[in-house]
Amino acid sequence: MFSPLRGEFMKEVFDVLPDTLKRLLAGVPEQVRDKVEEIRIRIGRPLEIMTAQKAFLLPYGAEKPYTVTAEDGAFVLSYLSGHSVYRLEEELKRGYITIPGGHRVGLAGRVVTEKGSVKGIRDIGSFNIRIARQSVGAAEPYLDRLTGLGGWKHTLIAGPPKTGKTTLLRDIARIASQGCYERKLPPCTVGIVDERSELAGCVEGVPQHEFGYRVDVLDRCPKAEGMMMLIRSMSPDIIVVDELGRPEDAEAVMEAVHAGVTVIASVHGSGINDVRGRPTLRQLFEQEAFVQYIELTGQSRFREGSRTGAGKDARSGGLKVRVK
Amino acid sequence: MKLIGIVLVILAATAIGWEWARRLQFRTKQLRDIRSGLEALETEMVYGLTPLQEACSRVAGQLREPAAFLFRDFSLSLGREEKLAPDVWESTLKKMKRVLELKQGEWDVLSQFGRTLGRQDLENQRKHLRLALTYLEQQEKEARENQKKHESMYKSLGFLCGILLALIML
Repeated sequence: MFSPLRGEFMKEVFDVLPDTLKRLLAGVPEQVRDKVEEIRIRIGRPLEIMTAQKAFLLPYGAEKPYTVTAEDGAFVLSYLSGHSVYRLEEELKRGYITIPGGHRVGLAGRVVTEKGSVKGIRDIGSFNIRIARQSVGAAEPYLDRLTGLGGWKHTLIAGPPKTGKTTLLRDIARIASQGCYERKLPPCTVGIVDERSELAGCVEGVPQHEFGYRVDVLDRCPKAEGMMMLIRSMSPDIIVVDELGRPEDAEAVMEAVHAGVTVIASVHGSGINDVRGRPTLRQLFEQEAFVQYIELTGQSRFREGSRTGAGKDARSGGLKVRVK
Repeated sequence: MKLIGIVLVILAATAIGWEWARRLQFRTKQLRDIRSGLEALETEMVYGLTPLQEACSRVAGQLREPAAFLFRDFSLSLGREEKLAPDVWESTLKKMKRVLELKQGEWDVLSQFGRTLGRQDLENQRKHLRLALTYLEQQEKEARENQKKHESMYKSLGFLCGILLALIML
């Protein structure tokens, strides 16, 4: 077995690749490889890796790119499923698989439908491995605003896609669960409703990111129902939920707030005012469910240097905080 | 001296007859074991959604030798080798050729079944399993009838042949 990256964070990704592709990736210089966000494997086309700024065809720096063979694709699918594609029913319907490490592999190919709804993907032609990197410390600059004397505040994080909402939520959940001695924050029981398996990146019910001890995750659960389930059964102090949007989500948030549970949520939108105008979420603003609003704007995602340090500096540049 | 020779010839011929009868018995038994192995595999796959490697090692635990060996060897090789499941299955079958009393048709069915093993979604995987099972069931029935018909015949035939040989040699 060919494993050039022992102990590195990309080991999990290498585990699902056949030797041919591993070799190509191993040939990429380390400073580029550390910043890779996506690896795109398309059968019959070149292997492509993407960082936030740039895309490269492999082998790195070579004139003639390597063409991914059907066999490579078969290997990737086999390794993804542990030689058991029949287990991926649900994943093939959703179009992505979460692998250990919290990385997500998107799938595309021939879609099979039944009665008009997608039943699964059968002949898979493209894989997109999206590398998940936990930015430990991403939430630290915000802690002053997120917490008060009574502990954590009801918070809504708004921003367009790819501004780091999920990253921020993930780190908030981590800090809340671990507690923070310097800020006199006691560890809390945190419940996460993770509809898209992205926030916690669960594999078989176990979160793949670092969350401390006090986190319970409802993986792939519809948000509104999940919030109610958590309140009823797991008695959380804080509920963390990603991408509110539907009317029933707003109702569930109100329910949680009335139940005395702190809600920290994110929502798609260019800003708070944009979100405020949305009819599905209007109720939340009318009843003043959230105490604190955080807007993430601009391209705050470009990370230079280390994974943790520079990330939060860059991100705080695009921050606006409003306190009511 | 002659008497000892006669006894030896008859004994040897009888033993050969018994061996043939035993093979018939083995064939029925092995076919039944492989079939129940595949049935157990279906349960693990379709209802338990167990990963292939683990499913096979569990199935091996429920079976008698030598059918258990087929599933155990496959499960071990799958974990050890950097190969696709169908290739591993094929090489396991090759290893088993000496151990199991199967006919070419049955080997073909098993290898056909292996070609899609672990590479298709639930529904298709199940179809292929069912297909192999139906065929094996039929073969097993045939083998059982065959056994019933020929088992005692082989046994007595061996003994009688021994006597015939002895008579000729006298």
